[in-house]
Amino acid sequence: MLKTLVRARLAGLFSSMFRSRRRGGQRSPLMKGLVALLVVYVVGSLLFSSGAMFQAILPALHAAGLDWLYFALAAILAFGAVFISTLFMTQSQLYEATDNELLLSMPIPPSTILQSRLILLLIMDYLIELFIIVPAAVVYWLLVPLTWQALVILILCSLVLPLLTLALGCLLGWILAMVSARVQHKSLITTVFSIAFLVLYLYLTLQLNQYLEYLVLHGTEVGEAIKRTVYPAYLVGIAITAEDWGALLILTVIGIAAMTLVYLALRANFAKIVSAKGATHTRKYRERPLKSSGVMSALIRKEMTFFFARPMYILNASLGVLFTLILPILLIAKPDFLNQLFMQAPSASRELVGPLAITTLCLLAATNIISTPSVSLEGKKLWILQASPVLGGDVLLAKAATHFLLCAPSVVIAAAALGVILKLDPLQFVLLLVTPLVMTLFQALFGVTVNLRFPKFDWINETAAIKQSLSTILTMFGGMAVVAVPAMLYLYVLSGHIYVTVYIVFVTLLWLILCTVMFLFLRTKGNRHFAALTP
Amino acid sequence: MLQIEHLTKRYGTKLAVDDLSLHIRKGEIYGFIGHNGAGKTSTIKACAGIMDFDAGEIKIDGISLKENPLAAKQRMAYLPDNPDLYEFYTGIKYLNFIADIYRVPQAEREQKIRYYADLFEITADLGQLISSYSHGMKQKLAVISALIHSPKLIMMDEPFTGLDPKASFTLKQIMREICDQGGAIFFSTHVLEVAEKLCDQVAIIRKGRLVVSGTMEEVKGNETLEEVFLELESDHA
Repeated sequence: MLKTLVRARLAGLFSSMFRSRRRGGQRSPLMKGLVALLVVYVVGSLLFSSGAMFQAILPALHAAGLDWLYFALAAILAFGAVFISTLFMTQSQLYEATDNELLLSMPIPPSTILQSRLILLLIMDYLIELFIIVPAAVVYWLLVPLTWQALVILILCSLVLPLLTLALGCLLGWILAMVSARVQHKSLITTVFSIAFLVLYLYLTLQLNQYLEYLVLHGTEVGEAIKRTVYPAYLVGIAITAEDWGALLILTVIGIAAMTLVYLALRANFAKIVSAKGATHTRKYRERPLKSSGVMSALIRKEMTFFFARPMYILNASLGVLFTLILPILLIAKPDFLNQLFMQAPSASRELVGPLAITTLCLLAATNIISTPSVSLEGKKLWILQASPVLGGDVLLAKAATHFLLCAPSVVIAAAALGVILKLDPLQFVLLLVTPLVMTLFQALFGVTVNLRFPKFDWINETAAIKQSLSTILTMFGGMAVVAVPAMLYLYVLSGHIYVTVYIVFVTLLWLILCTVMFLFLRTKGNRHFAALTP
Repeated sequence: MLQIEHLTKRYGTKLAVDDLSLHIRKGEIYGFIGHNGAGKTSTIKACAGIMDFDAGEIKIDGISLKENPLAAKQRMAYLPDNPDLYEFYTGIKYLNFIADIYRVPQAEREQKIRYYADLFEITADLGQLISSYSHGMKQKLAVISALIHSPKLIMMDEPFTGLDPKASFTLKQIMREICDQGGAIFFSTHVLEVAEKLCDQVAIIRKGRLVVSGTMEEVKGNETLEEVFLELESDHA
C-alpha cells in the first residue's frame, strides 16, 4: 500500500513533464530531447554555480587546517536549501494536499498516508541536497583527495542530514498550516511574509562575496561559532575530515530521534490537521448596486482576482516584477552592479550601459510566467467558459492581457528610474522603456500559447500546475533564450559591425512580429484549441 | 428548440454516442435516461458546446452550434452534474461575472439575482467566498447562474444532486415555468420517479444508442417508468 501511494505521488509530480496528454501518453522524441536538454541545463547550472562557490573557499580553509569547517558549511548550506523547499512543500504535499480527504475515506491507515507523504518529501529533500553536497565533495576530491572511508561517511551524513531538515520543516510547516487556517487575510499575509523573506534572501546572496571573504580571513572564529551554535554541522565536518564514526553515530541518533518525534506527533494528529477547516467569518450579504462591464474586462478581472487570491501564484509566477522594482534601488546602492552582472561584457563601455540595462529588464521580464499556467489552472472549472458565449481566443487573450497589465507597470517605473540614474540619451531611454515592454508582451502571449499546447489538468494542488509543468520550464527558459541569444550574438559576433541601438531596434521589431504571430494564432486557431481542451 | 441529428461521439475507439437523433420542442421538459456510461453526459456536453463531436449536427433554436457557437450558447444554459465554480469569487461576484459574460443589463441582473437568491434562500450567503459553500449551496448558485440570462433552453446533468428537498421542489417549479413561457429543458437523471412526474417527453439511451423516445405515456403505457427501463435494459443485455 505504502509503495503504491508513493508511486502515485511521484507519478503525479512528474507526469506532465514526461508524459503527453495526447499521443497515448507519450511525448514525441523531439519533446523528450528538449525536456532532457532543459533538465541537463538546469542541473548543470546549479551544480556549476555551487561548485564555483566551494572552489572559492576551500583553499583558504584547507591551508588554515579548517577542512571540517568546509564540510560544516556545506552541511549548513544544504540544510538551508532543503529546509526552505521542505517548508513550502509540506503545505502542498502534506497539510493541504487535495487528495487527503479522499485517501482518509479509504481503508488506508492515516499513518500509511502520512508515511507516503514523508517519504516523498524525503526523496525531494535528497534531490535538492545533491545540488550542494555533490559539488562540495567533487571540489574537495579534486583539491584535497578524500579517502574511501571519508567518502562513505560523507554519503552516510548526506543520508542522515535531510532527516533533521525534514523534521524541522514538517514542524514549522505544521505551525504555518495552523496559523494560516486561523487568519482572515491569509493570502495577503503569506504574500507579504514570503516577499520579505525573499528580499532578505536576495540581500544575503548579494553579500555572499563579503561573507566568503570574511570566512577566509576569520576561519577559526567562524569555526568556533559554528561548533557552539550549529552542532550537527560541526558533527558532519568532524565525521568526514577526521573519519570519526562516533560523530556520525551522534548525528544519526539526532536525525532519527528528531524525525521519529515529529512523525509520532504528526501521526497522532494527522486526521485532525488535514481536516481542519479554515477560518470562516460569516458576514451577511447586503445588497448593493452591481457594476456591469464588458466581456473582456470581466475576463481580465476574473484572472486578476484569481491571481491575487493565490500567494503561491504571485510568488512563483511574478518574481520578475519584484526584482524589476528592486533593480533601480540596487543600482543606486551598487552603481557597478550591471557590469558585475554581465562579467562577459566588455567592461565600463559607456555605450553599453543602456543596452545592459535593457537586457537586464528583458531578462527579468522573461522570469514572469503569470500567463503560463493560466490555462491549466482553469482545471475542472473550464466548463464555465467553454459553455459561455465567449470566443476561446478572447479567453486566452484575456489571460495574456492580465500578465501584461500586472508586469508592465514595474517595467515603466524601473525604466524611468534607470533612465535617470544611468543618464541615458533620449533614444536609449525610449528603447529602455519600449523593448522590455515588448518582451513583457512576448512572454504574456508565449506563456498562453505554450500552455494551450501543453496544459496540465491532472494537478492535485494549484502549485503543481504553476511550478511543476513542462509549460513553465519551456516558457521561462524559452523567454530567457529569446533575450540571451540576440544579446550574445551581438556581444560576440556583431558588435563591430552594427550600432548597438540599431541592433536593439531590429531585435525589438523581431519580437513584435513574433508577438503579432502569436496574437493572431490565439485569436483565430485559439478558439478551436480552447474548445477542444478537456480537463 | 434543440435538434440533435445523427450525433456521434467517439473516445478513441470507443463509441460513446452512436448516431443519436432527438428533437426537443418549445414548452417541453425532456428527460434523458440511461445507465452509467450510456452516453448521457457526453450528449449533454456536446449540446452545451463544451465537447467536440465526430459527426452529426446540433441546432439550438434553429442555430447550428458548430457554425455559430456564440449565438447558440447565448440562447442556452448548461448545468453540470458537479458544480465546480470559481471558488476565489464570492457568490455575488460570480453571478455578476456570469451576467457580464452573457451581457445581462444591470437592472435585469440585479432583479434576477434578488429573485432567485431569495427563492433558493442563499441571499445572506452571497457575500461569502464560494470556497466556503457546501455542495448544495454551490449547486443552488450554479442554478441561479444558469437562469440569470433568461435562456430559452437549459441543459442539466443530474440537476437535483445535492439539492435539499425544498430547493429541488423550487427547481422543478422553475423548470415548469420556463417551459410554460416557451422555453425548453433537457435534463438527465437517474431518479426515475422524478422523471415520471416532471417530464413531458423522455428518451432512454443505452450504449450510446437511442432505445426508445416519446411522450411519457407513449413510453411507459400502463407501467411505471422504472419497470419500462428495467425491461428495456434486460431486453438489450
